[in-house]
Amino acid sequence: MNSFTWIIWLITILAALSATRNPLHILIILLTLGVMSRLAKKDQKDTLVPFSIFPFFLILVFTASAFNALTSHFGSTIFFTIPGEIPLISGSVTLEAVIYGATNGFVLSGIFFSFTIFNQSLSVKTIIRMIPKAFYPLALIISIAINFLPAIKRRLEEIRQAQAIRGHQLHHIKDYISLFMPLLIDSLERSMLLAEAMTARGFIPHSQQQSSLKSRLIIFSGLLVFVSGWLIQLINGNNYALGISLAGVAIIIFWFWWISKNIPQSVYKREEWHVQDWVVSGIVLSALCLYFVPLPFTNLEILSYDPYPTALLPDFDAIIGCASFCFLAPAFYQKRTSR
Amino acid sequence: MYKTILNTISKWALYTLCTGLGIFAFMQPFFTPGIKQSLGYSQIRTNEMPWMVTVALSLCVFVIVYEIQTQAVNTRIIALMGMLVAINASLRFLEVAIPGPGGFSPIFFLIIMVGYVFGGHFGFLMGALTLIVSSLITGGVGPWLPGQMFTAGWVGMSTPLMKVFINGLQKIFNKSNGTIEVISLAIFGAFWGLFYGAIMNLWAWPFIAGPSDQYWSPGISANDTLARYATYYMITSFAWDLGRSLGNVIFISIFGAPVLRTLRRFKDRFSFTHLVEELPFNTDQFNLLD
Repeated sequence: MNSFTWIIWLITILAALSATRNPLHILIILLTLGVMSRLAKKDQKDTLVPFSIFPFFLILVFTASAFNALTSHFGSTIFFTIPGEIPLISGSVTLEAVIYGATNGFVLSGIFFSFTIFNQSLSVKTIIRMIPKAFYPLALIISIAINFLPAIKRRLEEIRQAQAIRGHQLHHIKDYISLFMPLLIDSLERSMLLAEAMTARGFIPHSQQQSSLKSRLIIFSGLLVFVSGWLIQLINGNNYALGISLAGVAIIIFWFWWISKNIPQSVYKREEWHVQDWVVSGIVLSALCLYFVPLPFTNLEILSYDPYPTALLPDFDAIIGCASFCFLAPAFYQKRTSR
Repeated sequence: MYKTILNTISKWALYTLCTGLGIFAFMQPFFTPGIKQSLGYSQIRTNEMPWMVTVALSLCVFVIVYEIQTQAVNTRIIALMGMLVAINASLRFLEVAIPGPGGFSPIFFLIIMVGYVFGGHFGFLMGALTLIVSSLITGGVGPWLPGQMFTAGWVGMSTPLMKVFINGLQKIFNKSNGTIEVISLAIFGAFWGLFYGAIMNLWAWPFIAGPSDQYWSPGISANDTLARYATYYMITSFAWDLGRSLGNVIFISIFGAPVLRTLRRFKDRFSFTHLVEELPFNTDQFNLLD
């Protein structure tokens, strides 16, 4: 699947998660993410996944509930009271605070999992390739760093063995100087050779993209428009101000795209956009619309569930709930292509 | 002359705006509830604010990185930065594989050293790129990343400020050896170990601490809000960040002097200027160096 389809999927999941505080709807999104993570292709060579999803989910929800229950003493259903005057901790422990904390845990888990699936599904090289051309020196630095990582690890092992042969033992942190310093010096020598090799091959980094006054002025204006929109939104709380902020972001993105147009790039294998990418993008975006667009057959108010002051069972909208399963669309596509 | 002044002003205006926007983004939990309460608008969209902060910080990081790369990047810097980031990212890899006590992280040590020797621009790139590369290799890309990049960039960017302080101390004590330098940088590392955690906690504070009326009350001053955050920080994160702070002190104290010597030596080697000799024929076609 095209990497931009994955970005669209990620954005829709994050937008859906930010649109709701209803635990039932968040749980359905988490369920779809759980299935997605099972089916996501793992590229173990490139990516280290630092945690298993389900235990991590339990730890996160437990921690968020416990933390909120111990520090937020609002709500009418009191379990017990912590005596004394311990700052932040002393006070009533309520059911409402536990539910609010658990909902925080659900949303945070959703954010973590969606990014984990994104990281699992795309290789590091694909992510680097997505860096705009205007930032090609940055992409090159990242590329050098990632490509030299295995070499650095190998070199570290060689140095360790060489020092061990000389009778060097690693007991204290000071002993690591004899490992770290040769590694640093060796890497800096290599960077010298690399710079010479790049120059010899005619690599000229920035002669084509000097930051001009015009460029700065446009970026400056974009940032000012963004800040203005944000301030208006904070003061008035109107949603149209969000549009102003987005316009500021659009100005900056457009300018970087415009600069990128003049920078030549060799593409050896262009990523194709298939019919399935249209289908998957269409399905997930349609599902997302149900979270934001008021329709006669849906009730958007149930998405903003608040357990305070007295916890009640959250309402559930079956249509939005069913639509959330549409976020599974990339999984079906991947399953088909893997067959 | 006129163009140079205009360029300098526009460059610093952009840096100031980005830094100001970054501070505004991180500090918004302190004033947002007050603004909303005073204007009778109390509906806090809890899930939305961290996203606005993420977008704002992403813009700031990209703009600063773009600005630096157009001014200060050549092949030598690209290669040097790539290698240093690779070393630092491998240290982060070790940290994920073998977690240290609390928030202990070996990456800040090299960011501080590099920022101190090579300057603020280089330090900012070192901090921001270390975080992005290590996130790519450990699968840690997420909405928290722009905040981490920006704050780590600040660590590197602020390190040259220590030069003024260290020069002053060296004059007072009439000594120019490296001990004062290493001790000062270790204290600086200790400060950033704690401050980095305090800044990063701000991203999630309103999100974790519940609705605004639970961490903020009508009529309380900015100082009171700050005191509440300080209590929250002391209870939830201080012990964790202390691990990072002590780690920075230990690393800078032990590795500081030899690493500074090495980086200075290579700085001299990397900052050579290619002078084209007057030759009887046109040399432009051979001038491949940037």
